[in-house]
Amino acid sequence: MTLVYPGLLGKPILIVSVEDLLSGNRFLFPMLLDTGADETCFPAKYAPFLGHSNLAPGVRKKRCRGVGGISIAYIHSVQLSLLDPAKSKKSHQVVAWTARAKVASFVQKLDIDRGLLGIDIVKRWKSVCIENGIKGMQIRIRL
Amino acid sequence: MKYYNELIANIGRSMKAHPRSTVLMDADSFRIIAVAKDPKKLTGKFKRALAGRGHTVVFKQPDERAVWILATGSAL
Repeated sequence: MTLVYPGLLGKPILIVSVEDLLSGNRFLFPMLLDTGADETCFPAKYAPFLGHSNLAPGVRKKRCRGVGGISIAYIHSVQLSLLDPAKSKKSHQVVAWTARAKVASFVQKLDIDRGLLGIDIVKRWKSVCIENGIKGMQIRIRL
Repeated sequence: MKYYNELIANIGRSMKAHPRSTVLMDADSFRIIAVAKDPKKLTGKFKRALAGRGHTVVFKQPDERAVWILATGSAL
């Protein structure tokens, strides 16, 4: 199966379905395909949106490193899915693929307003191709 | 136009209309639910939107070029 997505703002940004596994709520969030990221992650400031608290007792933390240096990452229970861009319709979004991972890092120093789809997820797909043509950027994912 | 392409086009337009704000949008009707410069102010409306039947998308236009490469602790 091949999924073909248009880029956003001239970048390989996908609108990904994110499920909060604590509440079961699902929302859509832009995520940049970042093959330089070992792990899929979100900015820490978006954790409260999901009803998660980075400061709650019991929230697992770990260290990670990016351009901004060493940062704390808070681990929260979320699961990501790719929408099927050909079959999804208004009020009926079709999920084409769901990640096995049921947690993701929310990184303190990730000071951007989108998530990063890291190589931990990208390596689960058969291939990813970023193409530029007359229609603009397209991201072709083969599952 | 396919739904996903329409969604992307509406997100792009809303980013241009509200270049410095975080935007909550109903992903079914493309109606803007709320806009705020401080995303914390959207938390209540976001939770109410999630409690409803529709799909919600949250986004903000990047305000500068970003460079980000992330390594995990185990990879260091």
